[in-house]
Amino acid sequence: MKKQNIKLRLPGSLYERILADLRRPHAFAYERVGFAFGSAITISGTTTLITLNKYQPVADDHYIEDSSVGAKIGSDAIRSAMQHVWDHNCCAFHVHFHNHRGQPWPSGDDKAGLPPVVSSLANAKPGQPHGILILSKDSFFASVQIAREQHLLIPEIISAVKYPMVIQFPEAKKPVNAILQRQSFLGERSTAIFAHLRVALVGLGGGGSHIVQQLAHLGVKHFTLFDFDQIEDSNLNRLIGGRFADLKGKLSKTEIAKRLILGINPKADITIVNSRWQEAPEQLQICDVAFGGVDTYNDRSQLEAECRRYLIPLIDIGMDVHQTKEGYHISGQVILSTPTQACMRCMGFINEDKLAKEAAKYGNVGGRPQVVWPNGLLASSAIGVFTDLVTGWTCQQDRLVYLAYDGNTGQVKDHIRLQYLEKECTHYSLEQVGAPKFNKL
Amino acid sequence: MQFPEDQIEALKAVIPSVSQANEGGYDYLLLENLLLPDGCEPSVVDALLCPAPRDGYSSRLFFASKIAGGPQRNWNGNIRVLGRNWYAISWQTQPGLKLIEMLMIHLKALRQP
Repeated sequence: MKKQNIKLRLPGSLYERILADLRRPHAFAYERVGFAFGSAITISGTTTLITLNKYQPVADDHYIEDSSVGAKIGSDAIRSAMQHVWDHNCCAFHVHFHNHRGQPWPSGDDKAGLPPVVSSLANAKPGQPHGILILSKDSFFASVQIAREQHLLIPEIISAVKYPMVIQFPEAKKPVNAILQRQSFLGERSTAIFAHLRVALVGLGGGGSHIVQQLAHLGVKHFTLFDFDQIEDSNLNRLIGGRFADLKGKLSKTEIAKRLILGINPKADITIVNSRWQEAPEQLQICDVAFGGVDTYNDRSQLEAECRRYLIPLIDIGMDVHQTKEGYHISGQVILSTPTQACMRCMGFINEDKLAKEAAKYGNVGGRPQVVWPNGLLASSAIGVFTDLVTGWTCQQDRLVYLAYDGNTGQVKDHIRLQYLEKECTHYSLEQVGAPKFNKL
Repeated sequence: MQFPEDQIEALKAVIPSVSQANEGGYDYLLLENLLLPDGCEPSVVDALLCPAPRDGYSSRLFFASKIAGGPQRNWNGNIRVLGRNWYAISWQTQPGLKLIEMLMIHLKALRQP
């Protein structure tokens, strides 16, 4: 039997809600307990991706007074969670909090008392994964029971998708990496984080080729590269890694990116998808962070919807050259679309008017003007956003990112819309996380 | 979004399995096993109706596969909505239609003249 990998993700808003609830004092219990619910998909038969989107605190009167343990809950609490699992055909996690920093570990009482709770949840829906989730102030522990596995499994990565992300994965020992020693200020876990995440690049043109190069320098090791296109003459003015000799064989942009990465890190693990991402969506869903370097608002909209559904932060970059009466003007943007926070529609970057105009021009776009340096600048800004998102080195919290680039003055600054933006997204709700659910009419 | 009960009932008279979901602020109606006009291949297909303006269209009908056998149309494929890939043609409907009217006008695009 193949080794089963588990990825567990929860949206930032849910993570904050769980933390706030579990920190509330109880009349007699030392700690609180809740249940988190969500859905799971199996990818390529070996990876189970679990996305949580709902939380149910254990009611105050469902605790049993017992000073020998931190919290003891009665059968009513477990029955209520089982009922939810049964009604919604979902997965469930027993959740509690250890009040310290660093990775929490199950106590002796946890090890003895919690597996039977997981078994009860599994009795309600045996086909779904169920488990235990322990939160600390800045980390997690989880163990998961999945069908056909005898023992509880430790996820390969757990992440709270917020700014910055809270990321936990099994760390055997701190990797020593002389190549990355000059960036140690990014945090003692930064090297391990870069080496552990799987990063998707959707579109490997002028912007994506800069990004892939910088990610490789940064120490990212696992890449999934999506592009259906091959190099042509007009790409050589901006495609990083592209060579004149590649034109003859019409080398794919993914192969050019792969060569670029392997030249920097020969041990990189690279998955190539020579098609649109929609033709291999599971290869995107498995990624922990995605970069979008796509050409149209429609493509952005589809990519953002998929990323939000599977709790993948999406960093979008793009540039345009406009001709006005005064001459040419270069503009561009870097947007971070973090699930449950403001989306590209909330930010006004995607709207019906733009989509309609784009659809009306369908098939008549022509070769749009593009140059190398704005792509490089936008890609560098995007890499800066990524680095802070996954390491938190600047200590900024809950940051919304919509950077506007004026290529004629060379300025990058916060887009003015950020001043008027609600943090919560009004287009993608928590109910839309995970595999789609339809209501029968 | 709550659709008018009478419009849903009218739709279900033609296609019994109708369900609803939202993505990105758009409401969609999943029409399972929709029977297509004569000559279409496949003749039965799942479809997704977006009854509100989207991408410059007053409404859109997406099909689970590309449909052959009808008039020559400009098909777009692999449009990802609600976790599935869909096909659609460039076909405009006027605003203010009832759901069943919308569906019929979209299906008209697949009918041989």
